[in-house]
Amino acid sequence: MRLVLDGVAVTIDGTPIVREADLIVEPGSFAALVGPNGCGKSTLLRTIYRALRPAAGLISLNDEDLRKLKHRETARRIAVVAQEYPAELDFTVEDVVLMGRTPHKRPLSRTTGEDLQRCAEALERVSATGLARRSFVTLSGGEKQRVLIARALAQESSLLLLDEPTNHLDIRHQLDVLHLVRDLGLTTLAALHDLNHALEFADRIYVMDTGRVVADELTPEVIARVFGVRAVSRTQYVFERLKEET
Amino acid sequence: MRRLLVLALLLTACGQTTPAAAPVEQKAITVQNCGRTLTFDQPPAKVVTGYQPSLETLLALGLQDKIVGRTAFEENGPDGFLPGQKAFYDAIPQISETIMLPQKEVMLAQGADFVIDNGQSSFDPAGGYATVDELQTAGAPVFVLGNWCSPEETLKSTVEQTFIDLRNLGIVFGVQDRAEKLIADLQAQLADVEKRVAGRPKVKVLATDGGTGPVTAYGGAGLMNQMIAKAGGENVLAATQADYSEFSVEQVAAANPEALLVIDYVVYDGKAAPTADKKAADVLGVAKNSPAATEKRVLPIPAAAAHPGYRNILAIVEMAKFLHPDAFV
Amino acid sequence: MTVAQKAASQRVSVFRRRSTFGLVLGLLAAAVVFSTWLAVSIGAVQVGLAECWGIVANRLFPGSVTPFWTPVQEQIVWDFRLPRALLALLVGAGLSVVGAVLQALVRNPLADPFLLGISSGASLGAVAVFVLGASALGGLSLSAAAFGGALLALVLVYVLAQRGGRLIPSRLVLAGVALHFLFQAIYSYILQQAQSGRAAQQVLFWLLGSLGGARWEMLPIPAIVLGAGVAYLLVQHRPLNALAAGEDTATSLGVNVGAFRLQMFVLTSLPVGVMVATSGAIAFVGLMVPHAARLLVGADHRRVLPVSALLGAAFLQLVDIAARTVDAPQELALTIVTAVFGAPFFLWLLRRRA
Repeated sequence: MRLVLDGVAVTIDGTPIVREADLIVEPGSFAALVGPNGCGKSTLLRTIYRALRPAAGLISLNDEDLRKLKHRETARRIAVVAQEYPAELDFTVEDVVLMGRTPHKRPLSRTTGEDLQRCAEALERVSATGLARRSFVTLSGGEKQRVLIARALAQESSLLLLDEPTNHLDIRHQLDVLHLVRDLGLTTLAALHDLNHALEFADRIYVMDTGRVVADELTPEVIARVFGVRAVSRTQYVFERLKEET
Repeated sequence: MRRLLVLALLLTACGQTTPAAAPVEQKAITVQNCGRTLTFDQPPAKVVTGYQPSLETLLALGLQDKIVGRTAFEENGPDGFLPGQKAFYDAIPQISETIMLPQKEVMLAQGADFVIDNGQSSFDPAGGYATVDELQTAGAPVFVLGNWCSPEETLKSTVEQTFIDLRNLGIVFGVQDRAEKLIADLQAQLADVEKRVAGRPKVKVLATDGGTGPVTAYGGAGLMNQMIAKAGGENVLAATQADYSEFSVEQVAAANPEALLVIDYVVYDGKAAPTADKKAADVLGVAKNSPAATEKRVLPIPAAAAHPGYRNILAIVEMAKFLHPDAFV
Repeated sequence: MTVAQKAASQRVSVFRRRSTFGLVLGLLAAAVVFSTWLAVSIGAVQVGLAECWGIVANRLFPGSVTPFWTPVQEQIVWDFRLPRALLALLVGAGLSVVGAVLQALVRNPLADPFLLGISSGASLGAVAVFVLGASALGGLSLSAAAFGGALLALVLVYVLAQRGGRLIPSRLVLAGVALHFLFQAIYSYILQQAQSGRAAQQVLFWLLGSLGGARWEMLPIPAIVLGAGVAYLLVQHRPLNALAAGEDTATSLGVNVGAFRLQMFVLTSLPVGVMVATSGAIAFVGLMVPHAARLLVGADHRRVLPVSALLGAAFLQLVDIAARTVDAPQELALTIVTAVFGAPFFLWLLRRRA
């Protein structure tokens, strides 16, 4: 699945949040979206999965205009791990994963053995089979992310969007989740706040600043311009410190 | 200086109400009502009346000149008044738009020296009304008809209480002879009815205020139950110790009445209320297998006649004629 | 263990859960049947069991039983008790399913038709007809006025609670509560203007809920609206689950959130209007029953909705039996009984779960 954004702009309550976003995610690749807080990463992702409507521009999947698809059809192509948990009602892990089958079902169709099989496989792939009967709200942060990824897998979509999937996780679980996502081999676009993670896991990095995609690689110049910090590699850092001492 | 003067005047004006709590023994006139002793130096001359029966009672005693304010009750139109009373009703100033006494401040501003009503709802502080105590303190003792002093006493009220009330009002206004004449007349009418219906089979009666479920009707306690008995009837809901209450449709259907009495008030507080015909149709629909339904045997009873007052006795005569027409030929 | 084996064991565990669900459904269906049998058998006037069921049998299959009962007994059982029992089932199921749907819709466990002002909107319409007379409202019937009130409340809540086309659940609840009190103030004012005694007392009794007016001729509308409404809501379990998990989640699962919410709001107000018009505003059922259902079978609406429907039907049937018999021949308002019986039961369930 190839995702293409061409001149996408998004306005919320009259304020332009995304001004101009162009990017391409190649089939089977892991693209990261980075940028300072408030640069429009989440808004752009939400626009792709149609929680928001773009004010301008074109979003296409395999050369198909997203706006021409029904919501159900979109959901069969795009799965999302958002920064949102079912908190008010006491769903079990099974219930949450089964939600992934929603776009494949009509109101009157029954949940079949095949649906259950897909869900069981999805849980297995994120190594969370043992959690099936647990209440979702009692899980740890890392477990919750695994379960939400399992839900996305049960959705059987070929494009996966993740919005800050490592938020609120300790470092071990951050790496754990990112390894898991990369190994799934799906076409993936993830908003990440940790630049080191982006460099380590992503095939391609898009940098956003004040509503624009300003770069498609993370060079020291881009980091300095966008984040206002100096980025150095470890060897360079050691080398410079030695030079100062001598 | 000028402001001070006004203040002083206000103070004395307020102070003038206190002598009302003067020693009791000096008073010439004393009657008992609702467990209270009402005392007067001289017959009241600024009377405020409440719901219809209270005004009717004073008019029957020829006291129309003493009444300075009345409530509004044109619920049954011009026909809702007893003969000759409509002219007096029109002549007396109206101080309330409803059957209730006016709100507290308006009521106290009337400067009444006597207040008469039936029931307690016009003295309920929760409704914004002046209480019996407040009126008493303001120099306007409250007289309640029919001993409707509390919900419990309402259930125990008797038709005969009307004679006690008339006698007491005769004492208060110094018109004992008129009161005794009215009492004798009413007692004669009651005795006549009693003689005529004696020995005749009791007619099974349902007295209702309508409803399709639950049905509002009169149970085996209170005035209406006695009125039915005195008119030669038998209240089909007598087993329930209640006056005006709600009954399940099952009980009303099983009661199997032979005749229906329907409380009639075409206009209720200025708004159209269900007509007696509508209410009768509803209730006879519930008791559709009863003789009352098959014969459509229905008598409307003015709402005023279901409240304490001498109209109860006039209504008993009407009810007896309706239940036992043969006895009045 | 291979992946396939694990998957198979997973399926078994899921199926085991479904059989508990089946058991709960079966027990509740039995409770519905038993409570309805009880409702037809007992009442303010005693009618023997043989007479009761002879009457019902003879009505369903004319000529099957030779009448050995009086016409009044037949009237009591067939004209009063049976339509009332059926209405209790309909309203109980309707209130509960609507409550469950609204809770998911606004993602607030406290949501019910009362909290969102829908019930009081319907009550306002009904009180206006009751007290001011149908002529004052252009000849509207009670049901139509109640439905109009419910819809008015709904539109107001919806308009007040949205921003830029998005419905904000917290605003929805706040707007609903504010409107609830506003409507309550208006109909209380109308009632107070009606003054003392009769009219006000009758309306108050009715406002607290009563099925006393149930007759065959008034059953078709609630049966059609509630039957169709509940059936439609029952198959919405997937989008409701998705929405309960979050708005963005629901969108990403293919639910057109704005359209779905609007559709659900209209489809819940219709039954609420009809229910308020036929039985007054019965509180507590719509709030409590869905929670009790969740405690029994978990949060998944695939199970919660049917369990709520059956549980609510059986519960309101028992409540109405109590309302008719506890203080016979006088009747208690239903809201008094729903709270008295429902609250302790609910607290017990809650504690047992903890």
